[in-house]
Amino acid sequence: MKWFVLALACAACSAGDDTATGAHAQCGEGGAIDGSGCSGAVSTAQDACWRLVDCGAIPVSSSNNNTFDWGACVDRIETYIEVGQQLVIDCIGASSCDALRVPGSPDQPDGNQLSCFHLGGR
Amino acid sequence: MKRLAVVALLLASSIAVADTVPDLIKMIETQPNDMDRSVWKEKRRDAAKKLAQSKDKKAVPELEKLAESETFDIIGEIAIEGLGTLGDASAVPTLQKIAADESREKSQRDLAKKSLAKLGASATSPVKPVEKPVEKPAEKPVTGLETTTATTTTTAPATTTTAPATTTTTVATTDSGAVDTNTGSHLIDSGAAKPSSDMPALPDLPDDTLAAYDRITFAGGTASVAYDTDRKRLDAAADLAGAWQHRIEREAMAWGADAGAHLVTGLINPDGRAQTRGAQLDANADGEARFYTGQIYGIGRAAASLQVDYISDVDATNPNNDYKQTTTEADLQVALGGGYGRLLDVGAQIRVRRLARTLDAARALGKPIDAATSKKLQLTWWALRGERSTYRSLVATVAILREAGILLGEPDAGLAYEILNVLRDTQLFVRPSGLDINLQISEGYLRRPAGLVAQDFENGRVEQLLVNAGYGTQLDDDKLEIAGTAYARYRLFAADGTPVPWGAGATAHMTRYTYGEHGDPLGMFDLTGIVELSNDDRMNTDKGLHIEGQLGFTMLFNQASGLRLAGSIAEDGGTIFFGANLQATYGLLDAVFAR
Repeated sequence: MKWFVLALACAACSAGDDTATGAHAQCGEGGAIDGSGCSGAVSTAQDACWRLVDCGAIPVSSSNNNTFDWGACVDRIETYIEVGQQLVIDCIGASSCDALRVPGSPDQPDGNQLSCFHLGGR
Repeated sequence: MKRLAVVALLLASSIAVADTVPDLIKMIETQPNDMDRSVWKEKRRDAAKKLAQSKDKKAVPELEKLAESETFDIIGEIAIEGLGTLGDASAVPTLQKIAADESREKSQRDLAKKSLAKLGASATSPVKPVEKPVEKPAEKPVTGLETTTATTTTTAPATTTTAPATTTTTVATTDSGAVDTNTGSHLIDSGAAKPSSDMPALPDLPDDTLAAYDRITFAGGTASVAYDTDRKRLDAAADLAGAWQHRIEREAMAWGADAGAHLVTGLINPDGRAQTRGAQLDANADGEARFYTGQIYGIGRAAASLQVDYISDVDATNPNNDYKQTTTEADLQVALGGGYGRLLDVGAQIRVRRLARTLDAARALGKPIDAATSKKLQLTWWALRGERSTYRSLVATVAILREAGILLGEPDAGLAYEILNVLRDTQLFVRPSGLDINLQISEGYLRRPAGLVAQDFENGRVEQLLVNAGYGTQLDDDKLEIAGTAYARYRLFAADGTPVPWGAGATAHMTRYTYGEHGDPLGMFDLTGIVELSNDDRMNTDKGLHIEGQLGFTMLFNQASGLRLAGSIAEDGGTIFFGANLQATYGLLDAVFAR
């Protein structure tokens, strides 16, 4: 089996120089009732980071390089060793949205508080 | 008084002769002027069946004529089978001629052999005198799958099927076997009925059940252990999940329950002080009940969830950089509301329809599959869903169809293969049909970690307004599906200064399923559109809008090879994303010979 994945993010298309938090999915707020709206398969780093955007945990893009946005999320996961990447992706996929949110979410999330990322190893 | 009795007698006799042999022959031979041709074809098939059941020898020439001449309509098979049921030895030469005719389909020749056996003759030998006439025993209703069963030998290659010929099915025993006098089917080839445990015990569903499902899913996403001797690092990871879903839709009420659990755990232990370990467990349960008056319903729901996270990430050199955290989140919520309509999963019903179309195309469909038989088939598949092999499902399906008189003759290898394709069709899972829309008000209690509570995220008592809608329809012989869902939620009664988040969205998709000539699934073409709009009502954030379109095609080359090509484009927060995915699965098509 071979996978060929191409994902092009056109961050430059973003209007202005501020932060775009993006739209949240059905599971983004409100708890267990109807909380399954984000239950799509999470199997890649891109999927996992979309899940964080859907949940209102991180912004979709930011002109501030220090902001942990979708692109930074994908980059961070891809720095981990293989088993660490898988653990982080599985952890994000299994979490409820409220468990993924951290202080500062969604526009200025504290990346160190995103507990799933600590499963990636050092 | 006597006159009245005579009139009643005449009236009764006039009704009785409405289906006399001459009338039936006339219906078979002449299309009434006021009758559509397709309706007439059905009528003449019915007439042929009645001729077979008439026990009147005057019917023999007409059935012989049909058996010999109607090689392209199912009425030919009805006549061949009927000649055996009639029990008149004068039909033997005609049946022997058909049995020996290589130009005719194997199923027709096999039917002729079976009819010959009923008449005490073989395909080649002269007629043996029938020692005992076939007597019709007292009629008893066929109730379905009872505990006592009988065996029948099919013409499928090396297949001995077990048919649910039950104690309450009308069975007449002859020298060569038994004949179901309700259907004319040759149910037993050798000896008396033998008890069998092959037919499963069927789930007990109330009579007014419109739809139901029961799904159990266990998924082991990843599980690995590795030790790297070069870097002296031990890695271990596991991702395990299980879910149960059950739902019953009845005319006046519906209820459903879901429960699931998910465990993610891992260890990364390189040489030295550094070590990462963690475990995450989440569990959830959700229940719903609806009470209907016509299409309008009242709804009550309850949901609970629990998530526990434990993370320990030890720095290689600096203990001050160690990270350890254990958090617990819990939700308990109820909702009340009302709605309109239903959205049902009709996948099993479509499987029945595909079965009927398959039999019809093979000219083996004696009559449409009625509701009772459809229910029996679906419940049998339900009962056998845990089987690793489709064998029992195939055997039971053929037996049920034969018993009901729907499948004419035993299926040959080609038809058996096509039935098997229908039973194994994975494109029939979760096929929605109907329209459902509801509005609910929910009250919940959410327990969140202190860090989030301090930032005014939803916590404690939370009230919401929820709207949900779903639609699905199956078109073009169930090969085209159009479906969609929509939702909206809004927080109510929030304290002053507390964010009042809201969100709404809709998803629509169209899927075209394709099949090969013999019912092999070839793949699907799918088109999906998604739009989501939300606002978490916090400082420095705006309304978010996400628009996405996906287009995909899955092609199955054979059981080992397939191709999935998908593309998507999404716009979110002013950022545009393009994605393309090509997934190829291929298997070697080995050709092997050994002497």
